[in-house]
This record gives sequence, C-alpha cells and structure tokens, in this order.
Amino acid sequence: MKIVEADGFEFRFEGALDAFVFDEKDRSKSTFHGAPMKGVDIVAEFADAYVYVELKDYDDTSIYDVIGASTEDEKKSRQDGFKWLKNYLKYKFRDSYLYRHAEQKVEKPVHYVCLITFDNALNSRMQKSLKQELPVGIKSRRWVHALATSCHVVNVDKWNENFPKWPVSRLAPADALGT
Amino acid sequence: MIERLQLKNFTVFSDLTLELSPKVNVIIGENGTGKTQLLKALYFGNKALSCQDASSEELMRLYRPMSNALKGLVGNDGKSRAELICHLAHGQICHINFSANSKHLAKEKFVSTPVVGEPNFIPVKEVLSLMTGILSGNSDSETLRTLFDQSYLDIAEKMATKGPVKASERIDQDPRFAEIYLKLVELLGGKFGVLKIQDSVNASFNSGSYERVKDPESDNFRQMSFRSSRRDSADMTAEGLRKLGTLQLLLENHELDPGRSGVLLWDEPEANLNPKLMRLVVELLLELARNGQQVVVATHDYVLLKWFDLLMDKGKDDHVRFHSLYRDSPSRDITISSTDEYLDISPNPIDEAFGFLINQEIENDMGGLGK
Repeated sequence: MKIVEADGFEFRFEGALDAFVFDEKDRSKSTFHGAPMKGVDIVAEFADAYVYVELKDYDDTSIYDVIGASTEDEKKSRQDGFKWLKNYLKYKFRDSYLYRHAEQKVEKPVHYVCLITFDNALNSRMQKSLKQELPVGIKSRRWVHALATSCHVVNVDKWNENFPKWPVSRLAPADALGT
Repeated sequence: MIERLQLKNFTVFSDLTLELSPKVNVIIGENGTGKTQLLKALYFGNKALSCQDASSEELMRLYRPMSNALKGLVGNDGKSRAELICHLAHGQICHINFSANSKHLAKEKFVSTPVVGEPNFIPVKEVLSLMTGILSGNSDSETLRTLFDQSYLDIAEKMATKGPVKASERIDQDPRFAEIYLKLVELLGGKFGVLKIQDSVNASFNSGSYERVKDPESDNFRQMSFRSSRRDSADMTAEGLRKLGTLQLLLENHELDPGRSGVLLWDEPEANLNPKLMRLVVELLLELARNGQQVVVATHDYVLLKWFDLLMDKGKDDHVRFHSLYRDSPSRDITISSTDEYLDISPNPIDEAFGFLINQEIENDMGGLGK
C-alpha cells in the first residue's frame, strides 16, 4: 500500500509498486521534480501500467460551463475558462510524459486520470475534449506506441466507485496544510 | 397557487409531501417513481378547486386505473383510505379520501374560495395533431376516453377556445404578454391556429410574423397585425414545434394567463424537442413565472435541468426548486427530496446517467486496474 497526499486529498494505492507526488517541490526529497516543466500531481506505478493523476478542486464549477452563459461576454469568459482548464490538463500530461521519457519510465501503458470536482455531465465534456487533444491512442501512422493509453475525468465519488483499491478521501483542512 | 400537496396511500405513493415553489418547480426521477402521477394529482387538486367539484369520475378519467374503479388508485396495502390533500396559497384546500370499496370521493375539507384559476396540463405527447380527432363532433366520447386520459382531452379543448381579445390587440395592451407571445411566434416562424366549423376542427400553422404597419393617411403606426405568408395543416409541422404551439395557443386564448390561471404543468417538455430549443423553453417558463405563473415541469433531460440552474436570475426574483423522486431503501417507498440548489440535487438520476457512461469507459480502457 502506497499512501500519497496531494492538494488536500489522500490516496491509498493498493498493489502499487510505487506512488509519489510527481511535481515534488521539496528539494530534500528523492522525488524532487526540479525541471522547468509542468508536472501532474501524482504518478503511481503498477505491474502493467503507470497512472498519472491530476487534481482540481473547485468551489464554483459554473465558470467552466460554456452552454450556460447568459451573455456573450460571459460565454467568452466561460469558454476561456473551459479552454484554459483543458489546456492546463493537456500540457501537464505531455510535460510529465516527456519527463518520464527522460527517466526511461514510459515502457508501460500510461493512463491519465483527472480528479475534478465537477458533476458527471461536465466531467464527460471535459473528458471528450481532453481525449481528442491529448491525444489518446496511436494518432499517427508513424507512431509505434501511444502517449496516453486512456484518459478519464472523474469526481471523488466516481473515483472511489471505479477504483475501490485506490480510495481517495479529502483531508481535513489542518491536515492538508501539514500542521 | 399550490403551496403543498400531500398524498397518502394514493397510487404509488405511501406518504409523500411536496412543498412547492410559487414560481418554478422541476421534478426529476427514474421511470416508475411517479412523476406523471404527481403532476396529475396537482392537476386534479387545482382543477377540483377551480371547478368547485371533485368527482370520482374525473379522477378515474385522469388516471384510468385498470379496474376502472377507485380501488385501482388505492396504494399498495389496499386497506387504508387513499388521501389527496392540495393546499393553495390563500387557504383554499381540496382534501379528498376514498377506500378500495368507495364509489365516490369523500370530501374531508373543500374550500374553493377565493376563486381559483384553472390549471393547464401539457402532456408528454403533443396534442395539436390529435385535435381534429378529439374535438370532432363525430368522435365517440367513450372511444376517446379509451384512447386518451382526461389531460389530453382538456388541453385539446383549451387550445380550441376563443380568447376574449385578439392577440394583436393584446400585444399593445399588455407588454408582459407581448414579450412572451412574440418571442414564441418569432421562434415558431409563425403561429398555430384552430378553426372550428360546426362539427369539424382544423389545426393549422400560418407562417409569418407580426408587423406594425404605418397608416398612410394619419402617418401613425397601426396596431400590430399578423402577416401570413403560407398556411399548412398543423400535421405538416415538426412535432417539437407543435409542442411549443400548444403554449402559444394557450397564451393566445388566455387559458394560460400569468397571475390569473392555475398551475402550468408540463410533462417532459424535452420530448421531441431539439435540445437547442431548450434554452428558449426555459427562458419562456422563467418569464411566465416572473409574471406570476406557477410552473411545474417533470423531466429526464440534463440540458433542461441545467438551463434552469444557469438562467435563473435571483436579481429578477427567480426561484427554482428541484424535486427528486426516488425509492427509499429498504422500504422501497417513493420519497421526495427537494432543494433550491442545483448541485445539492440528490439523488440525481440524470447526472448518474452520465456517470454510468464514465464507468463503462473506465471499464473498457483500464480493465481491472484499481478494482
């Protein structure tokens, strides 16, 4: 069992060979990231796969709901918000993959799971856009293998429902601050 | 305006209390949790008070129970008396009860003053194309009652009534009516009309728009008039537009008159409607509610549900209450959970449907990982 805390959440990865905060900022730790690149929050390694985890905890999800904008300005602002988040998630994955390539740690399929506190409907829209742009699967005849084997966007309930061996829970505010 | 509905041992409901918003109410729930039955109970309670009578025949024509007797409307235990209690805002109340052996409804309490406006119930299937058959003098009333429940027959009658004032006159007299009505006509690209000649009824669609023409003599603008470019039978139009046509005709005939008419009940507005029109439907319903119309819709549709959340303007005193019907565990009784906050709707079977898709994708892509 590997236990990882990141961004106010605690993950318990049963059966993981390794699991750690990927974008570690603490220089004293062996997993210190230290490169001028973006990084996903957590990487977990299993016998047959790597799982990249990125977290986003939102109070107000409506800022990303493009179809709900009531004015053109609001629509533009929400489109920008949705696009910003999609790009943020996309480039985090790509930079992390490159970093892991340099580590010679991309020999197994890579699954990208984003834990975002949206409802399922909005997460589905984000997932569709992200899968197209990441991209998922072998997207060129010249590619020998995929960058991302799969990509999923889930909220906390869906995570726990689908990954019962990797339960996630929200840390109490004091724990999250490390006090 | 209905404040509260209580149902005890009535159809699928063992004991249910629904506290309604005076403005917009959205009912969700899986199939078989009684959404339509709840709408019908609201319709019956409001209609009984506006007609100042609650009859067992009317109740059975609305619900059409298997046995064609009141026992078909008594809940699961079959022994206790069924009760329907509808409380309105000014103290009006319709409290009826009956047992499996009853032939008539017992009116435990029935206060129908001050005067109550008639409700409107728009059922799932559109009715405009059925009007010729329903309202023809040659149609056999027993056959019609076999084919349609009372809500269909009532809405057909209401669409065919003639309003006291022509729409073109009312547009100038009542700006609130004009705003909603003209928006609908613009969306439809014309308007539906119903022509009654002796025993025959024809529903038609007139393409065109309202225009204000200048009087060449006085140089003043005349009142708005509808300029029609083409006329077709209502059957020739898209089914989704016919549903919106129902709203247009009810408004035009004053059957739907915000501030005066009873509750507007709409069962699955999304049926046969292009999802892109959903925003407009929600805008119309919110505008009706701003003008004093109580609205109750039942839906399975995420887009409709979400539009209510997103277009609700608290600055305009909008109020939307979401009601989720579900089977309680382990009693299996149908229960209701109501909230004014979209994100607090629980259970939310509409969002769960998206969740099932997410589950299946994870299953397909990641197999047993994490399980």
